[in-house]
Formats: sequence, structure tokens, C-alpha cells
Amino acid sequence: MNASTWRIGPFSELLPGPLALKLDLDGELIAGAQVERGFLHRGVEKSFEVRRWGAVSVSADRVDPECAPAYELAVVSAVEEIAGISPGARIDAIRRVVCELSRIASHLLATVRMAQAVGSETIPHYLLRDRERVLELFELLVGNRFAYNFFRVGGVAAEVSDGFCERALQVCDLLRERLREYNDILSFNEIFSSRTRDLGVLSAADVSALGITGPNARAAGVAVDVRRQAPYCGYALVDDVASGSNQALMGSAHDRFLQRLREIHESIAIVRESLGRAAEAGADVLPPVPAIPAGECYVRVEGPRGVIGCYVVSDGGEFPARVQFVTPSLRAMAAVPRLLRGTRLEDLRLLLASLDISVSEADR
Amino acid sequence: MDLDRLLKEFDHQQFVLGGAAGGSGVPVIWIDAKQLQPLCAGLQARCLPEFDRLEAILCAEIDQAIMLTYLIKNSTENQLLGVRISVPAKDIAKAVRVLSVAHLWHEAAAHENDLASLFGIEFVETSPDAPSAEIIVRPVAASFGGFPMRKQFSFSAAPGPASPPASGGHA
Repeated sequence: MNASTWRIGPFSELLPGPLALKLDLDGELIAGAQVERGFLHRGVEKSFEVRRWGAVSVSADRVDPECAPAYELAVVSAVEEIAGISPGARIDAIRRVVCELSRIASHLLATVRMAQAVGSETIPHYLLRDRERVLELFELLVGNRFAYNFFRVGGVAAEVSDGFCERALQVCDLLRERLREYNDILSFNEIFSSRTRDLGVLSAADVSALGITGPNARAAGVAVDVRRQAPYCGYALVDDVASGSNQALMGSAHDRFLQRLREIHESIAIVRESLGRAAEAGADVLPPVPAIPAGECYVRVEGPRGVIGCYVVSDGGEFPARVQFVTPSLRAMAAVPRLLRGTRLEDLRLLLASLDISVSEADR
Repeated sequence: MDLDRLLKEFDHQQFVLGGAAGGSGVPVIWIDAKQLQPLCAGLQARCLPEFDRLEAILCAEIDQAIMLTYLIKNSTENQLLGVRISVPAKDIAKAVRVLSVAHLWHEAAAHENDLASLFGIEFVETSPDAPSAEIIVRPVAASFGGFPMRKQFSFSAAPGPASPPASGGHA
């Protein structure tokens, strides 16, 4: 036995962000692991308390820039609930389009990280090239590629841009074709397949015990999806909402990759269906900011990485009294020590990439 | 034992927290902080259907009191229930003590760690069944000299990051 202890991080290319790992090694085998987090705490939740209600989206974007629309939606939905505002079917459709496009971009980036972790150099370029098409859509609609600041209490910041819906349909058609290619070049790639097939198996029992949600849970055969179980933002009216888990998936790193591809496919269908409604003429999209009465509310939305909970407290003043997020990466991180035990050191980066943990949203 | 029968054993107030689960709201039981562990143990072990998971611990400071709402879940029926306690937090420099529920729901440890150093809450573990610490949260409060999420905390009084003088340090 050749036992040693390694400390990796907080800054290392092996890690998904500023995070420290203390690894007990037996040769190249990880015998035990401890995670230290909190290096990226920025006080995002506190920042809500010094901005007016009309600016909640600005702070929400900072929780996790890769899935900013989900956080914007969570906080504006909670505020709307307190104020008793119903934004209407067309606003819901526009918000669904933005959220699902962001899910596609996030899943593509997660796949890029997995491909990079197995040493692939060409495949990430293909994936990033197509993700760029999605980011260009955001640029057309919102004006920004990141930090969209687009959702407002009771509406959205601007009318749908001319030509956006047509471009979005073209991108959907393109991505549907490309999904087949991604599957071919990764699923049937012997290196990728053999390294991910039995790696980091997260059982359904682990998923339940740790409260893991999102694609990581669905890849383990656990059917959790708030869009289906407690529909919000008009998802109840959409036919193509994820039907949950696929029992054939067993929770390995490869299954998590497959699950994300499947969810991109579903998101494309939701975008296509919602675009028709978003393009219709309707009431003004940007209503004036209403007075928010005293009250409190907890809402859940399905973000790209899992269920995002948002707790908002209003004391009737001009600023939120408290905004708190419950993030999926915090739960996924709890699985890391368990999954790392028995893993070879060379698979560390791949395993962490397959869980798609965002340190930004965990630390906030 | 059903939920209503269990609740008869505890002094409580009941209300509905707006939102969650498509706008249907979450029933919340507000109890004395001393009753937290017995009620949670009852909800987990004696109540049918059992509340087997903890979804989140919500925390807010209202009127110089820390208000904690434990959102617990019956995963069979996907049903949420809130258990709320309130502890006075008048002294900005002093952490408040709350009993931990990590021995009942292991996922609580992550949520408790998340709140502890920011709000100044010491979650006291009384059971040997508590999970070992596999996730360590770097304490942020030490550099702030207080608990930055408290309402009374003054950011202008907190020491800022060390930076060189405008002159670059040269006379």
C-alpha cells in the first residue's frame, strides 16, 4: 500500500471552479475525499436587499451566469406571487423560450467539459460552435450573451426582436441534426464510452438520500422534474415537457451525458412549440413596476442543473427584505465524496464534469 | 399516525406560505424552537406518510429575530411541509444557538453549513448519528468581523481588503 494525502485546489483545471479537495490516496486510487467550498462567496443574496424590486433580475443573473434565466424566472415568479400578478400566456411563452434556450446552452457546455476531460480536442469545437448559435439568439433578443437582465416583474424587458423567431427555428432545426452527430461521435467513441460507462454511478437511493435533482437524478432513473410535477410558467400547456427519467439509465457518467442530450432534444421541442405563442401580438411586455405588498413566498423552477428554490420576503418596502436561493449544485456537491471513493485519480476531472457542478451557484 | 394527530402534541400556529408547487402554497407549522427536534423526529418516524427528506432551510431576519423554516418533503407524494422556528438575535456580535436536525435528515448538514457563518447560527448537534463532515464550508465571517447577512451588520464599518496606497507606497 502506498498511501498519501493530496490537497487540490482551490484553483485547478481538474475542478469545476474554486473548490478544494482533500484526497486520501492509495496509489492512484482515491480512498477518501473531503470537499471544502466557500471560496466564491460573493454575497449575491445580500445584494438583493440594496436594490429596488425592479432590479431583482440584475442580482439573479449573478448567481450562476450559465443559467441566469432560470434564476431570473425564479425570483420574478416569487415576487409576482406575493404581488398577485399573473403575467399572461404570451409572457410565459417568451420566458419559456429563453429558459429552454439557456438549458440547451448549459447542457452543451456540460458536454464540452466532459469531452475535454477525456482529452478530446476536436469535439469540443463542434459543440461550442453550435452553442455559439444559441448565444447569438440571446444577443438578438436581449442584447447580451450573458447576464441577460431580461425578465421583469409582470413581464419581460423588451418586445421580441424582428426575425428572432425565424432565427430560433433555424437554430432548432440545426441542433436537431447536430444531436445525432454528437451522439455518434461521443456515444460510439470507444475512448469516451469506456471511460464513462462505469464511472461515478449514482444510484436512485443516493439521489433520494442526497436530494439531488435535475439531469443527474433523471440519469439515475428518478423521475423528478418540476416542470411536469408542479407546472409553472405555462409548462402545463406544453406537450413536450420532459417525461422524467428513463429506467434504462443507471446513473453512470455516460448516462448523465445521454440524459443531457435527450433533454436538449426536449428543449428544442418546447422552444418550437412556445415560439408560436411568443410571436403573437399581445399586450405590452413591459408593465410598470408595481408596489410589492408585505408577504413571503417560496417557488421552485427547473433549472438546467436541477430544481432551483427561491424564497422571497417582502416587508412592504421598496427593497426585498430577503431573497434566498436553494441551488442544485449544493446538493450535487454532497455526492462528490461518496462518488470519488474507489475512483482512479485520472478520472477525477471527468467525474466532476459529468455532475455539471457550478461552484458559482453553490457559493453564491 | 396522521399529521393532525401528531400536531396535537405540540403547541403551534399554522399558516400557508405562498408560492411553491405551482402556486398552491406550502402549509407551515410555527412552533417553539425547543420543540424543533421532537416534532421533526415525529414527522420523520411516526407520521404517515413519513416526511423522509429535507428540501431546504429558509432563513430570514425579521424584527431582530432569526426565522428558520425547514421545508420537509414526503417524497412518496411529493408533498412539502414547513416547520418554522424563531430565535431572538438582538446582539449583532453573538451567534444564536439552534438544535441541528442533521441526524434526522443528513442533507440538512449542507444547508446548516451554508447558513451558519453568514447569519451567525450555531447548529448544535446532540445525536451521535450525525453525519461526518465531508463538505466543509470556508467560514467567511472571520474576515468580516461579524455576520454579514444580519440586518444590523454595517458593511461600511467592516475592514476592506488590503490594497496599496494611491501613491503606490512611495513617499
